[in-house]
Amino acid sequence: MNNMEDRKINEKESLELIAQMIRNTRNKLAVGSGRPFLLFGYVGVAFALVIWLLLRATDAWQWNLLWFALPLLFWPVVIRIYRNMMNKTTYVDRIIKYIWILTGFTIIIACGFTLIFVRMESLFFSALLLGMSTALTGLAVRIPPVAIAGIAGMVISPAALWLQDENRLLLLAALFVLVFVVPGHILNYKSKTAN
Amino acid sequence: MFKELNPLFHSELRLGIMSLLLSVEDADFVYIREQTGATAGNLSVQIDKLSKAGYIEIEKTYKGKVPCTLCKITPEGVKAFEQYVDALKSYIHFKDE
Repeated sequence: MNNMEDRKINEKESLELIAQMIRNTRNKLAVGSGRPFLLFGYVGVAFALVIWLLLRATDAWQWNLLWFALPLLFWPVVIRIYRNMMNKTTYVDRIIKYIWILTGFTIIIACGFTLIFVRMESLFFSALLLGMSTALTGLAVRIPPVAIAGIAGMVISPAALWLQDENRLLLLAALFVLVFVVPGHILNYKSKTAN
Repeated sequence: MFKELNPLFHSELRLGIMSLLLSVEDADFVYIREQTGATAGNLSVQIDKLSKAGYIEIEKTYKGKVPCTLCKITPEGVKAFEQYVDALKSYIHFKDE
């Protein structure tokens, strides 16, 4: 791109410049867009495997409470990464941000409800919601492989209804890979090649 | 009949800044500088002119510990930009005829 200066331009150049700037900016992913996905994905896999090992070793269900530490510890980190990464905000970015904020709160509320009031299948519910949010992200940024990964996560989520013991956590680890790690790498690759 | 062109948008750099901000919700100074290729000093002057005209809003904030200047187009800026594009179209149509 030519360096822009404070010079006068004619009508045709003006229209060309407007079109070019809009084309260059609109819906272009920020470099490293997949970083929050990768952080949550790898840490989620580590949590699932560690809790699985602890449950097998001690048989104390309370280890499951460690899951509440995941959003509490990593939301501030993810927000910081997001703020440092974003040099512009598009309408799509805003929509994606709110999708994930709502997803996080919904899962925390649902898991809290399960713990305190009434038992329900929170793993299935969480897996379904995480897959759906990844699919929505993929559709919003128009990257079909990300949407497909999210839908695949939704498809495998009912398996949580049949798995009974701590092995359900292995399903969750696989789900973290599918809906966070894989899309994270795809988003990073696409953002690098698009800029 | 020709519509009057807004003289503030005659400058290549100011028009570039407005076009960029029209397609995003906000953008920081560094991003605008990268996209326009302008020098920091010149960009600062032109952003200030657009801000004084009420076409863009400037928010001074921080990214971690680094100062960050966020720019956002105002509803008044959007309206002025649309009027400018309408006026441009009338000129182009006249020349085509």
